[in-house]
Amino acid sequence: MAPVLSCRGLVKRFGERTAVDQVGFEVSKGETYGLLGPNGAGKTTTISMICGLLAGDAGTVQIDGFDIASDPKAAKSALGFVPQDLALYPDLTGAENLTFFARLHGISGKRLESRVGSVLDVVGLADRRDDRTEDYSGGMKRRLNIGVGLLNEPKLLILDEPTVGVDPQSRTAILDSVEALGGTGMAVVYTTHYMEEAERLCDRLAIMDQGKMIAEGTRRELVEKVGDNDRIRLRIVGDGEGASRLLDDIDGVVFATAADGMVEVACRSAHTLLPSVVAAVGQAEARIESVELIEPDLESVFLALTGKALRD
Amino acid sequence: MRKIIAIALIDLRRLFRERVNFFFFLALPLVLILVLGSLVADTKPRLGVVGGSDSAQGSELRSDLLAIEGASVEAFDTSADLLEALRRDELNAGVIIPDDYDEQIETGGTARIEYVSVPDTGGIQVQGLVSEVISARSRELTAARFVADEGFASLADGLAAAERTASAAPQTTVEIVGPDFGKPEAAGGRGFLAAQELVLFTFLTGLTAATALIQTRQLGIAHRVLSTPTSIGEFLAGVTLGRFLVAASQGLFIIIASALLFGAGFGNWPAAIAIVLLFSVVGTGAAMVMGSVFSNDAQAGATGVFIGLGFAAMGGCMVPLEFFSPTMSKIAHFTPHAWANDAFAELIQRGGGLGDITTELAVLALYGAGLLAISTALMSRVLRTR
Ligand SMILES: Nc1ncnc2c1ncn2[C@@H]1O[C@H](COP(=O)(O)OP(=O)(O)OP(=O)(O)O)[C@@H](O)[C@H]1O
Ligand SMILES: [Mg+2]
Repeated sequence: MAPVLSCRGLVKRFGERTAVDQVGFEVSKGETYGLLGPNGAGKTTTISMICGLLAGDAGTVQIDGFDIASDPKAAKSALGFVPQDLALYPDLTGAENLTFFARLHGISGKRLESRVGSVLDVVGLADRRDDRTEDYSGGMKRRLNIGVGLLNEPKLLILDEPTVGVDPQSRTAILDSVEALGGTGMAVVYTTHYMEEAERLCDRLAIMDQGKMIAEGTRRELVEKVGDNDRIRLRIVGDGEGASRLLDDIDGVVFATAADGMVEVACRSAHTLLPSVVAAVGQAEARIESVELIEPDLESVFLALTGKALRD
Repeated sequence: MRKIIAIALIDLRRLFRERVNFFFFLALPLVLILVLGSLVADTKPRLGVVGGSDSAQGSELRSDLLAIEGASVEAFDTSADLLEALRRDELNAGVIIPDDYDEQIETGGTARIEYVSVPDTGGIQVQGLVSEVISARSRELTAARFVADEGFASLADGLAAAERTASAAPQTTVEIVGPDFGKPEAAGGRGFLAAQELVLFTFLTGLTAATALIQTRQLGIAHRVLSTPTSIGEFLAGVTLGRFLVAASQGLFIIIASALLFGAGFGNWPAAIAIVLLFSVVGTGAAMVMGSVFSNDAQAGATGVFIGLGFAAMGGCMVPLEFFSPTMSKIAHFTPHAWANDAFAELIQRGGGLGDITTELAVLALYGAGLLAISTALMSRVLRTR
């Protein structure tokens, strides 16, 4: 099946700085693709080129099979764009904002009414439809901002950091609805610098830093690429040193250390090794108070790849 | 086309959602016309008269002048008093009857009276009234001289006879002299005042609209619009159309409302509407240029007011162009305002029609087209590079 979005060799320079350097990826129907990277990584610039808002220095973009440069109207018809910054008229109501952008998608008549109505339902603002958006809470504005991107029932939805500056409650609501949208068969591109969001939502993702894509794949693939170990962290009462010596001998354990009543085990697969770990601690006549399994996350992947933390 | 209209209408909707904008766009120009209009055209013009009381012919003229109905006439003791009152703006004009008025007439020459006026519509109205009185006197005197030469005992007897017959050859023997710096063309009262206000406001409104344009960019709405299947051309056309509709409706409202409410006359209506529409294009073009040059709406707003009022003053919206020196007038014609004001003056004061203002209209059209072309080029560049 042809990908909904395909971009290749995207380059954008601002003077001396190369903001986007050879970025390319594909997103299929029903897939949620993440662009994860710190501030200034080039996520928004990449998105702007994909949406045809910024002329790149090199590269091609195809949306739904249409080239954004040579056939922009067809390509944009398949696109729903949710910009990083709120793009709403503050002095118009939620319904008026939606109606305006729907018209620009060529939606009119009965369909206009029904699209505006159903988007208001999806983003949970039906009861606030006739209030000016400047009177909305921060989270409501964010939700409406996303709603505008859904008006044309796009095949490709692009969300640029939709949860920045949002309270936890709205954030959960936004993540839930993005998850649901992915489930409806929409292709979604989601940029964020929150590792947790990327882990939860994205089927595949790219890690970006300083304009470059430094790694791409599923979460599992990325973690394996870095070759990081899982960790089992145990709080015990009794002979920690003895326990760690026994643990070291288990097949699959890379190393085990003990300190201050804590035993930490580095291993390949924490889930499969957990029963033998518990048994070994029992042999050492120590008692387990708590167990914690730590799988390597994207944070550690990013750290391993760039030598720096994802967030400052 | 639908999209262009949708973009144009969203601007209008936003503008008129704010009640206060109704005041700025519609009520304020009318209030100004009303206030300024009452200063120039509401009260009867005032005329001062000096001299003439010590002589026979002089007092005839004096009492004729004092009896003028179209003005409120006041007698002064000395010409110094009269000039002082004129200077203090208490009079629109004054007539000074010379002490040797009778002698001048008796010796058969031409009697000269002095007429002074301020250059406003009141002064010009009075001039007309005074001229009427004087030419009536002239006719009587001419007739009297004719009768006297034919054998009456004296001029007085002849005059009595002349007043009875009351017809004679129209040979003027009383002339108006004196510092007259008012031109009859400056007349036009409220019509011209409204035209000046219109030119000022249409342009100013246009420029302040630049802030809305910049906000649209700042809010990221321009980008969002362009992420839909809407081209840069459609977007700019929509924004331009919206701005034009605002400026044009304001201009048309001003001429129609001031005609209906204050009886202001604009002469030839199709020509007046043509000026309003073309000047609205100029205002819109200027706004679009500002909107693409500035990226900060507060800066653009302040600059807009500054340029708007500056051009208005330079272009003859505050002091009519007739009172500009030739050099100043040349400078003034760098502003589109001067051309619009010229065109209105032609219609209102000289009764011209479309055919008489083709030059002015062509210049305005050039201004509009030039500004729109520049702004379209600038704006597409700004939008493409973020
Ligand atoms: N119009 C521009 N002119 C000059 N430099 C720009 C412009 N837009 C972006 N940049 C630069 O390009 C780089 C990438 O910016 P971009 O906004 O794409 O980052 P981002 O990954 O979206 O960051 P954030 O998470 O902060 O939104 C930055 O260094 C930025 O300063
Ligand atoms: Mg960004």
